[in-house]
Parts: sequence; C-alpha cells; structure tokens
Amino acid sequence: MNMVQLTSFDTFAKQLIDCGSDEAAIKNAGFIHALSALQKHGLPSPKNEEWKYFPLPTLLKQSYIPASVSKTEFSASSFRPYIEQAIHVILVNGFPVNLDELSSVSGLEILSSKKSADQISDDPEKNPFPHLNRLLSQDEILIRFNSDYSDDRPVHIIHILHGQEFNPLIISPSITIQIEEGIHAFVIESFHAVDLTDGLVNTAVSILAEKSSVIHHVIIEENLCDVVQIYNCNSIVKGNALVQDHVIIHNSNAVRNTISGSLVDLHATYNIFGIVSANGKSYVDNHTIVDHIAPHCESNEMYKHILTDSSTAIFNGKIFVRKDAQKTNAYQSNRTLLLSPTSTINTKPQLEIFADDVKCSHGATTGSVDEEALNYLRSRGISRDVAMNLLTEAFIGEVIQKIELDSLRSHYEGSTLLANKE
Amino acid sequence: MLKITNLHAQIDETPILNGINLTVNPGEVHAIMGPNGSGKSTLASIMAGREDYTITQGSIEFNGKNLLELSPEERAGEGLFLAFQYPVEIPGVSTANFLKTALNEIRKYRSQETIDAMDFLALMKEKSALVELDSTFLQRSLNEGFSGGEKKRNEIFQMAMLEPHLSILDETDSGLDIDALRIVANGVNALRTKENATIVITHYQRLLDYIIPDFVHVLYKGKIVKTGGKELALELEAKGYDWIKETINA
Repeated sequence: MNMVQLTSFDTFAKQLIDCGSDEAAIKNAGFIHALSALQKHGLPSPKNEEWKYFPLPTLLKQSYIPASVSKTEFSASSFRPYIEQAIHVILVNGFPVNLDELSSVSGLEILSSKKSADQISDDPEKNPFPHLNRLLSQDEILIRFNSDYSDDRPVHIIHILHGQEFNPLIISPSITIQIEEGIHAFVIESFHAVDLTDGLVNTAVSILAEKSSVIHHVIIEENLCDVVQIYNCNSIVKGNALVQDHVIIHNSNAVRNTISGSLVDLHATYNIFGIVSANGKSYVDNHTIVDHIAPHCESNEMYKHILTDSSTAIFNGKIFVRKDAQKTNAYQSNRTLLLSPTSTINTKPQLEIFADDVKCSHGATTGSVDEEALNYLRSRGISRDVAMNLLTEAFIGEVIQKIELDSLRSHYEGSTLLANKE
Repeated sequence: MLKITNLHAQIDETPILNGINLTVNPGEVHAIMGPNGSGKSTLASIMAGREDYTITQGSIEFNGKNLLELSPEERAGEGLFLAFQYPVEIPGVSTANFLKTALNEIRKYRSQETIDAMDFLALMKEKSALVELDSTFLQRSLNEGFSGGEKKRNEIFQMAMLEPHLSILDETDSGLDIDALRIVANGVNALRTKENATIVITHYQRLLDYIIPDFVHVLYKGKIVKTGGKELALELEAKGYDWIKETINA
C-alpha cells in the first residue's frame, strides 16, 4: 500500500502520484505554494512555541495512507439525531456523498471542486497543517449561502471518519463557507469515527462573511478516541457582519484546534466560545487568533475547561489590535476547573495592541471545585457526586447558553458533558 | 431524638468542646446561648458534618443512629437540617434546581419515589409564601447577590421544603432587621409540629421573643454550664454573660 511520508516533503509530489493522485492537481499554483512551504518548514518540532505543549512527535506516525472514497452508505439520522430538522451534508473521509439531495434547498449552493489555486494565508512556520490539507484534500467543498437563501434550518456537516482496509489513514476535509450580504446561516460540523482505529484528521475550513451577514458555526469534537484531530478554521468578517464560532470538545484523545477570525471592516463582530471536557490521558489544545484590522469592531471570547484524570489542556488566545483598529472592544476569558490533582492546564492570553483608543480585557482562572459550595449542597442531602455534577454544570452553563440553537443547547444542558459520560 | 453525650472536640490542637451533654425530644425547642467563642457554632458545624474538627471523646446519637459516622448528605437524609450562619453563594445553580435535586436525593435515601414536577412547583409556591420569598428568587442563582435577610429567609425556605426532624438554626438572627426577624421566626413557628424539634443558637435574647424555647442552655468554654426555661434568656439579657462567667470561674 502506498503511503505519504510526513517526515520530509522532498518527494511528496511523487508519493502522491503513487497513491493515485492526478498529475494535473499537483501542478496547480495553490498546491505548489503549499508544498514549498512544507518543504521549507516541515511539521512543527517540539521547540515550536505554537506547538510546544501538544505532543505531536508521539501522536503522529511517520507515514500515512491518504483516505479514499468509501463505498459504505451512511444514514444521516444516526448522527446527532437531537439536532432537529437539519440540512445534512455528509462527508465520508472528506468526500461528499449526498450533494444531489441538497440541490433543492433554495439559495444554498454546495459544490465540490478540485484544488483551489488560491494561496493559503496561514503562516506555515506557526501552523503548516492547512498547507498539508491543501496537498492531500481531493474534494474541496464550497458551501455558499446565496442572497436568496432564507432557510432557518441549520446546515449540519457530518464528518464520517471511516476506517478502511489499511492503517494509519490521513483524512483531509476541506471546506469553504461563504455567506452573502445580509444572509443568516447556522452551520454545525460534527466528527464521527466509524471503525477507524488509527488516523490523523486534518481539516481546513475557511469562512467568508459578507457585509451584514450572520453565521453561527458550531464544531463538535466528541468521542474521538483513536484519531488525532487537527482542525483549522479561518474566518473573515466584513462590515456589520457577525461570525460566532463555538467549539465543543468532549471525551476525545488528541485535539488541536487553530481557529481565527479577522475583523476587516467597520462594526464587524467575531465571537469565539469553547467548552472543553477532557478525561483520561488526553491532550486538548485550543489556539485562537482574533485579529482586529478595522476600527469599531468587537470580539468576545470565552473558553471553559473541565479537566479530570491525567488530561492536559492548552489554551492560547491571541488578540491583535492593529494600528488602525481604534475603538476596538475585545474581551477574552479562559476559566478552568481542575477536578483531579493530575490534570493540567497551560493557559496563555496573548494581547498585542497597537492602537491607543481601545477596550481590551482578558482573564484566566484555574481552580478546583469550591469546597464551601460542595459542603453546602451535601448538607442538604445531595451526595458528593451529584453535588460535583451540579457545580460543574453551573461552571460550564454560561458557555452552553451561548449556543443559539434550541435543540443543540438543550442537549448540552445537564450532565451530558461531564467527564466519562457520553 | 438527639442525645449528645460527653462530646469533646478540637480543631488542630485547640480544644473547643469540653464535654457537652444535651438531649432533645420530639416537639421541643432548645435555645443555646453563650458568649463569643464559647463553641456554639462549632457544635452546629459538627452536627452538620464538617470535617474540620476532630472528635476526641463522646457521642452523638440521632434517631438511634451514630450521627458521627454519617456523611453530611446521610445526616440530611436522616432528617437533620442546619440553617447556616453564612449561607454560601452558588452561581449558576438556581434555587429551584438545587432544591429539586436535594428533595429527590433525600427521597432516594429514604427509598421514596422522586417528586412529580407539578407537585414540586406547588410545594415551592406554598413554602416560599411562608417566608414571603418572591418566586423570582427561585429562578435566580442560589444566594447569589441576595441580601443578608434574603439569604436567611432562603435558609428557612429550604427547611420548609425539606421538612427535617431536627433543625438547627445557627445565628439565624444575626444581621436581620426586625421585619426580617419576624418573617423568619413566623416561618420557623409555622413549621413546628409534635414530631419535630428545633435548636436555636443565638447570641441575643431577641429572637427568643418570637421563637419561644422550652429550654435555654448556656454554653461557656465548650460546656453547657446552665440550663433553664425561657426566663433564663431574659435573665442573661438583663445581667449579661459576665454573670455566668463569674459564677463559673468563681
């Protein structure tokens, strides 16, 4: 079985052809740009500041088999059935399988195309995974909410990560989402491993929100026990538009999210919320970048972690306020509840402010459950475990309330996200 | 119902209680008074199951069980309730959700069925009226941003909801104005039956104008040094604690 090596990219193009990739694709300008970036920088070493707490060297294999189209049929109804009345986009190992069914939704255009010639804007030294995605993704999905789109159903992208004959697999979904001026959209992505025992999932998503548009984007990374999940998302938020990313990570073994939003025109808003519930020996790493380029914009960020067992979480929140971005309002908060003595959080707010008339705040807190509160609840007859659950639910409740889709929010209210529960 | 025998307790190496004896029968109201630092709140905390204290001697029997062997939640299940001097604020947990969980946990402990949602709402409405607690409070986070009086009323409301056999009111009158005091006392009196009992821990005689005790005990240096009827409280108010101190130290 032909594999691609991730240790060196010198002969990567040839390896891809041996794996069955078509030759025209690797001559494309976007591909060549991404390849040269990887040839120059390679994948991050443990010394790389952006990756130092996430144990890539032990998690990654040296070589992978690029996933191919799966023949198995999947029914959307068995994945996240509690999300009511969704428009389902099913991607199996990054390949779309039901685009035909979706053509009837008015104003929604979903296309699959070969490699884009655009260059990837991420700094490959800091994060080369979008470049790696470009080399390996075969179908790039474009989801466009056109100016006649008015459906109030959420679009639910179901990523099925399907094990194939040989391991380890590398799966490279690639998605671009465009929301036309004034349009409102709700997009959910959820990842589901099916018979996959060893794999690397490296997803690249880009969102372009045109003037006065609104997009809520929820990313659900649950029960990913046997895969390394690397997820990259960049949003560009234009004037008066709102992009709200919301990440939910639960019971997954190795997750690294790099999520960013750029506010490029007046009165744009970018919100990013995260809920992390980690257990076992897992690593969950969230790097976020909020880039205030234009003046009069606002951003709100709130991440909450609940960590048990020997889990490790990493949070790095960068906020840039560029020289011209006067009257910026930027808020960041990161709070962590450590429920065991062997759980760890590495948290780093990182604000770089070049404008002088801005309001920025950030805060990080780390602690265990309030013993006074626990005693109070127990003295009213509530057992220790139930009391812990109540206090933990209360802790994350604030971030769950930010999910603006009733069926999804009510699913996560209560004890769903608490450690070791599915 | 409650039998405390020769109870000695210390925190770190400092003895706080030095041989408490107290028997409480169903239907009775006992007041425990005493100067600052006499051990009143320690006694309440030990009864509720705080783990900061070491019991060096003695026993507490409650409804035929060894209370000291029970966890705080088991004590509540057995029907013990402590109204705290300083109720804790718990952001993110509504009073209603908290009480529903508590009620059902106690029912579970007693092998009873969980309460029906409609019955629970009706019960909350009835009992919150008893302490004149507005229903909007029930949806707010537990004690968060409540005034001192509201917190104390909330304690009595919880007591009304959980219907304990023995209630201990730890300095419930501290920080209350006259109106709040009256409301709290009325709530306590309305909950009195022939089957349950109340221990009122207080500094001042004032609360005892509203909640009439059958017995008044004076705690000093970790021991009950004097026991009498309700008139003892009046005597203390008139003569001050120095009178007791002089008698004991003489």
